[in-house]
Amino acid sequence: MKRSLAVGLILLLSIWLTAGIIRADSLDDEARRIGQEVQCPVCQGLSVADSPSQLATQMRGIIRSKLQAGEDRDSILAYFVDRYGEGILMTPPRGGAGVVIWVAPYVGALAVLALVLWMVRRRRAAPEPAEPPDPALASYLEEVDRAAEAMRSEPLR
Amino acid sequence: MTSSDLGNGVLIAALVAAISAAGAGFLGGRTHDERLLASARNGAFVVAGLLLLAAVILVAGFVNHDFSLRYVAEHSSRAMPVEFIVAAFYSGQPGSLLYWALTLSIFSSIVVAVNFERLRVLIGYVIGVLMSVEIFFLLVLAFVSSPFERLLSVPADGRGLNPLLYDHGMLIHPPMLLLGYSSVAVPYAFAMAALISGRTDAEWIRASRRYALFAWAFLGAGNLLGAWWAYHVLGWGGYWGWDPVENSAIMPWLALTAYVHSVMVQQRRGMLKVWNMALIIGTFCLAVQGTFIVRSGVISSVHSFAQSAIGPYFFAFLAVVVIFSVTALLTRLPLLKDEGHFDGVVSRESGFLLNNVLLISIAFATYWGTVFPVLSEAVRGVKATVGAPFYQQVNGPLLLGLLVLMGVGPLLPWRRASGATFRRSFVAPLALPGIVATILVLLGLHKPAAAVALAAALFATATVGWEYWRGVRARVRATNEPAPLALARLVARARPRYGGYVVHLGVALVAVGVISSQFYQQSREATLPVGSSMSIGRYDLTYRGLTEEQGADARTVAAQLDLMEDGGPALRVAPARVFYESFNDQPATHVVIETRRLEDLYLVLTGWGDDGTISLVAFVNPMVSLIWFGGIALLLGAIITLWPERIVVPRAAPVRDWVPARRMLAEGVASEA
Repeated sequence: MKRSLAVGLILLLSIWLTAGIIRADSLDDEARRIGQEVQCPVCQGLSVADSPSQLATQMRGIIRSKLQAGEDRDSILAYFVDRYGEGILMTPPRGGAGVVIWVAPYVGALAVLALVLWMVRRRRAAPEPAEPPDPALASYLEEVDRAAEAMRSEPLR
Repeated sequence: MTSSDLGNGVLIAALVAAISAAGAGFLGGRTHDERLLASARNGAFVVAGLLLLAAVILVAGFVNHDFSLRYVAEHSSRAMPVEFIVAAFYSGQPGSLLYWALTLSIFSSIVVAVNFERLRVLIGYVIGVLMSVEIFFLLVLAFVSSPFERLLSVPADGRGLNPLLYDHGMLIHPPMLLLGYSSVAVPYAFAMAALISGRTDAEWIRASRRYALFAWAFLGAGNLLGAWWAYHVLGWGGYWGWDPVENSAIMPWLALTAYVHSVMVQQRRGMLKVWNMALIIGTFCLAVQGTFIVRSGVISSVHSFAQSAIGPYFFAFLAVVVIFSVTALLTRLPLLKDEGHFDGVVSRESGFLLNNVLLISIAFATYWGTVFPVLSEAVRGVKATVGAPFYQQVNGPLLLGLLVLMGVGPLLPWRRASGATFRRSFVAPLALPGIVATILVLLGLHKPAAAVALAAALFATATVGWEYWRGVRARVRATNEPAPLALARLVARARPRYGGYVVHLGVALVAVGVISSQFYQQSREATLPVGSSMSIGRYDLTYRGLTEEQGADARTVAAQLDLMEDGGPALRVAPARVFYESFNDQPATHVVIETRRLEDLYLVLTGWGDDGTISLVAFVNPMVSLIWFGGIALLLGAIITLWPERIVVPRAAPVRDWVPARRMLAEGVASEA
């Protein structure tokens, strides 16, 4: 009884906390998201959405009016690429040579995974007995004990 | 003698002492000669003393407004409030390198004082490695980038502190981060000492565990404080921009996070020895690189990278570190044979491995994005920009995986999970987020990625709660203690474990803050004439007029706004821009942040016209406060983990407490038999 009350309370709390953020996107939010993908031409590494410069303010205005006119993200980005070249985007394009940048992280992740798997490849040793399958309460404490022992920072003399 | 001569003299003396200590350390480590070891130890103390003296001379220069020192003239002024001397100290390259060298020398002294008697075999090499790092920094400080460089024509007043640094967050963020960078050298030195001496058993890990966690906590806190500072000072509504400086600060932290996890596998099972060595070497290299990128003053222009005076020196140092470390590692490979092996695919070990794969992949993607512009320009001659969207799209899913793993990992048993344990441990922690996520989606959380990510964070939180609940319940049953006492003793008994869970809780809180504010930030931009209004979310803003105020060394232009929440009473808020006299071209932004419940209303004044109209950008950032609370939990967890054992718990008492638990187990086994 007490336990289900506690669980219920936690449930309510987390729902109450998260429910506050639920809302639909507005045009301004969409404009900001697009602005974050376009570089401000006169600043160092800032996006149009984050830059305080005059030009960025104008470009934000263009994005908004184009959204109001019913254009979508892709056509707005294409408009800026048309006028300033591909360098205007905050990230390199996914086609052509730019594909390298997008693929490399995944190749890297796979390489790390492969390395780790190779490192721990199973040797044909006799299997040691597994730990007791049932962690009863007492064995939980022993487990804590054992973990604490392994982490003890005092060197063994 | 001028303070310039004095300062440089002290630096050169420290360099000589470091060279002698390094030599004596390596030789003493090899020969076990008592006198050499004692000399190395004393040398390390002398280096710390001299660097402290150098720091005092520099601070005295700031206090006395000694503008014959170039560093003082360029980073302070007479009008600067005295507490900002702290910020001025490391606001430039030479000062922060001095700070780095100073903190490392203090750590070295502590390490030597604590371990000199009990780690006889390793300590000589530990001193040798630490002092070698110190030699590099002292060479740069004494001959390339000195904080004591003299100005021939002494100006009447200094240039003043960069306005971005006029913030109290600046008093703690950079020192925290630099402290994190320099302290990474300590576990690295232990690892190297183990390799050089051939004593590759778990001793170096035990001895350096605390220092590694210390470095981890400082790097983490430094990063979070940096996010906090960016949020409060930079005025673009966010806290993390994935720019090269931020990236180079997060990478060593990621690598060190991987290390503090995988090292548990080595302690427990005697596996992953080579991997752990590689991780700590990588962490140290990333920390050195981070110091360089942060402090060379190049933010986005990678060109000045190599042109900066200290550039070549840092590259040479990095190269030496890499060659030396890798050679040492390869030479000792035969000693680093794993003792245990993997028993089960689903086990705590594989959880830690996956954690490592994810963390290193995130670090790699971040590294790749940071260096790609340089590569692209060198190879294709095309300027490429790799901005925030790249990192969000590549690292986002990896971070989500990590969050899920943070929920799963602690529930996995070592060696192998049986089907039954697996199910039993997972039902409770999985049910809670499952239900909450379903309800949220039903309520209208229409972004599936956000729902999944929030549920994952909740899962990680539930796992921590479940682990505490199980531990306390078990103790209460075994010892009949009241629950709060059982909780305190449980935590005291296994601090690394339960402190680590508090850290996990902190990370989960940070995650909820980041996910919510990334997916559900609202923004409005408006140009307002006097008397007109705008609204965002639950808030209405009415513009009442522009005010201008002339202070001692700055002019403040502020927009007076009446803020109403849900049509309630009006509150006067005034986002502003501040023009400091010596930095008129880069006005500082004073944002207004009003925190209501868990959301921040964030107001930035971006411009104004002669007719009194203003341009205003407003954001509603949900749950950003949770990021800061999470940071506090993270530090708290680190403190629990690091808290010395002997002081709080007398050894004998808790051992007796455990007896009933063992008896219970024995009886249980007997009755089953």
